[in-house]
Amino acid sequence: MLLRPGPRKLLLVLHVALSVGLLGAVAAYLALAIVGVATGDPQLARSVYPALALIARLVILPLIFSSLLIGVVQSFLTPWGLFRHWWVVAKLAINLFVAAVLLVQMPGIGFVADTVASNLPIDTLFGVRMSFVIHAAGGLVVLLIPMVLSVYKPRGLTRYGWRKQIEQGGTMPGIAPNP
Amino acid sequence: MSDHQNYPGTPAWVKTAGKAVAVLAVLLVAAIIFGGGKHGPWRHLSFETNPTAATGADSAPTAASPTPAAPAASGN
Repeated sequence: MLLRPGPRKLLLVLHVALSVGLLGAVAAYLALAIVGVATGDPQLARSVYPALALIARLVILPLIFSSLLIGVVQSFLTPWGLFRHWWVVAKLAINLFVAAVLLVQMPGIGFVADTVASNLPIDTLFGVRMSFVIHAAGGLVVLLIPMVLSVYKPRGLTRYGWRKQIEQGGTMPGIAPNP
Repeated sequence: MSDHQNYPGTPAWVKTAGKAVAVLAVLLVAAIIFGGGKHGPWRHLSFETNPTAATGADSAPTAASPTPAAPAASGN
């Protein structure tokens, strides 16, 4: 079943809003993580990590999974499909990778936030605090790739997409001008 | 099958991206191997704050049982 243009554009708006929101949230997270390791003010450094944990748990995590979900739904309800075009496959793989890395990071984020909440010293946690900066910076760069792919939609059918195209005997997006 | 024979092949940009990902994966594996066999935030925690590391226990540190003196050993 393919969607009509109206609902299809609504899904697209949702997907773009969630994805751009995700980029903004990761940028805010990165800024806080940098302040956490770079500031000379211990009080400021301690105040950063509860906010960091909240952004990760309440903003970044929901955004990445809802963006992923909407993207998958879109793929099934539009001619693009999920495994027909290499750029869609690449986007899916990147988003799954970023989500997995974030899930791996969550216990560390919670641990540092709990340490601060318990009034315990965080000086000894420099390594894990630095890893927040590195992973957020890497995540921001990696998350730009799906955006580029979405805009440019580089041509290239997967073998499955090629077979489906022949079965349907018609044109598909990416072969014909982009819809 | 004929459609497979006519398949134009994987695009160059996918091949290039695949090679880049493979190189990064190799680097990551090398970092894990030469970095002590672990990756992720717990790697840092276990080295820097795990009070039980010296005693041989293997539990991760918790906020309830930090190690105030551990940094001296790690040099941070």
